[in-house]
Amino acid sequence: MNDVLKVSNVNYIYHTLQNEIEAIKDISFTINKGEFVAIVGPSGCGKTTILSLIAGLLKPTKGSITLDGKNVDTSKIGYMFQKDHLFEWRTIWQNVILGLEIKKEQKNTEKTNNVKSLLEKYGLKDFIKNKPRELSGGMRQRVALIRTLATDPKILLLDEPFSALDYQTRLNVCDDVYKIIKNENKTALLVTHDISEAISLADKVIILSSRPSYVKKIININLNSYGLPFKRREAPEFRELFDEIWREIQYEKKEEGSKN
Amino acid sequence: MKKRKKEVKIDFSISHKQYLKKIKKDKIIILTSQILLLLAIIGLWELFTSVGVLDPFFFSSPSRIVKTLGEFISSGELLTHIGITLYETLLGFVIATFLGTILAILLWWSEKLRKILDPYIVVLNALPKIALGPMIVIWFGIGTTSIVVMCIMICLIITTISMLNSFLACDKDKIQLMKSLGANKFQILFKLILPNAIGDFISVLKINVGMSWVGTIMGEYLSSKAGLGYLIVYGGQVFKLDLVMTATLILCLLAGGMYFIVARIEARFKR
Ligand SMILES: Nc1ncnc2c1ncn2[C@@H]1O[C@H](COP(=O)(O)OP(=O)(O)O)[C@@H](O)[C@H]1O
Ligand SMILES: [Mg+2]
Repeated sequence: MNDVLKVSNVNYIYHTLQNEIEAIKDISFTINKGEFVAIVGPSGCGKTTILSLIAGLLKPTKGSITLDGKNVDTSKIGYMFQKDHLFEWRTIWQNVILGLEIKKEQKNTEKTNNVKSLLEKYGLKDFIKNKPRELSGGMRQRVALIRTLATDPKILLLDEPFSALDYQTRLNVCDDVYKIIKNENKTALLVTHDISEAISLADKVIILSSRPSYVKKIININLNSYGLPFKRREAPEFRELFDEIWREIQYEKKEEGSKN
Repeated sequence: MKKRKKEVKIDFSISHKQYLKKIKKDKIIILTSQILLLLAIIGLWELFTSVGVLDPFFFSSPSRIVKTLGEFISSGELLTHIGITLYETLLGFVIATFLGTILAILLWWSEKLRKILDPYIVVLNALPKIALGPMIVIWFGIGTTSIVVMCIMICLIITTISMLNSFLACDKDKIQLMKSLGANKFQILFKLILPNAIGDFISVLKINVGMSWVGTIMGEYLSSKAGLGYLIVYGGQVFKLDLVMTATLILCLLAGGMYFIVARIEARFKR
């Protein structure tokens, strides 16, 4: 078996004073090594919750999550958020080694050299002494990705990482991030409500129902031969895949509509 | 590595040069007006008191202030009074800012503690601190200790509340990010929460500069044998308006100077 991540029958309930909210009913899926998986679902369905569970920031109410057969260890996971969350008071270099610093490995030359080569490879070497505010949105998102890669995580979790960018930048950064993740041979799990984004990036799309969420369908995507995500949007199958996912999500809305 | 911050001599367009010129001109106009306004006030004050429109006994006058200042300086008394007030203010300012920030850190750290102390902080904040004056004087005696305590009472709670709000306002996702990188609570505090609050800390410093002067002068009104606040109260009691005005003027200069220093620190951080 070469699955890196295994999510089995996970259920999660938020407790608040007023009531309890079942965010996730029952979710199971696996991700293989090197795979790029996308989760799509209406907003509020529990996508961020799933990532927090996988990252070990929340504990499942029921079910189990394993990474390489072991219980999740937060330090083995790379997390990327909607915003880049670069620290304005740190230089780019200080930002990218934040994770190493936290693990007290900032003096480990093997690791810092690795970070340096990542910065060099992805066109950020000249900016290491700059402050984040001096960089464009796309560059900042690349820096955020390298900060995540610096600690060499087993799996990358991306929570709508492009939704804060304007449309033009979004398409470019999407290609950039995809290239970096593939080049570095990383396994990735992306969460989004943008169906096109999911199809263009992923090898596999997991469709969630609305809250409390369960897996409605898992669709395999095979658009690798078309190249980078932006090109894949022009693939003939793209439309069909889009409709299929769209229908899955719409179908549920109709169901709900008839209930009321 | 290439040096990125090369000084580039840019040849601006004519319209941009005009724009810069206008800004510069406005600046000069504002500065001259400010100076002229000050001179006008001093001049009119002197004029009105010398021709008898205003009675210098009640209103003093610039020339009498200068005279009083001269006597004070030559007798060496002035420096003693300034020194005492400045010392009390700075001590109160530093202790209050430090303690307030430490308290805010503790309250940030423990949600329990925060909830337990919440009503006390609310009441202490609402209380006019001058009401504590007699108590402070009885407990700490007449003199420096009481005055510094008064100063601390005035600045402490507001520092704690402002800093705590700043800590709690830190983006939840940034905290999640730190956790996902494996940070413990200490690392979250020192690498995220505190540096993130620097801007607010400087605003608190600015507020405390003003507040600590209020605290010290209030303290000196209540119980003192020396200091600028003492001079003002004393001068008022014996109807020596020259003394009152002179001390007030020095106070203006000192408070302004301290504010200026903090503003400079702020400018350095903003870069
Ligand atoms: N801390 C929380 N306490 C209570 N309910 C929460 C909390 N966080 C999220 N929820 C609820 O759980 C559901 C799923 O949230 P989330 O995972 O953020 O959705 P998504 O990322 O798909 O938009 C939402 O309906 C939200 O209201
Ligand atoms: Mg979300």
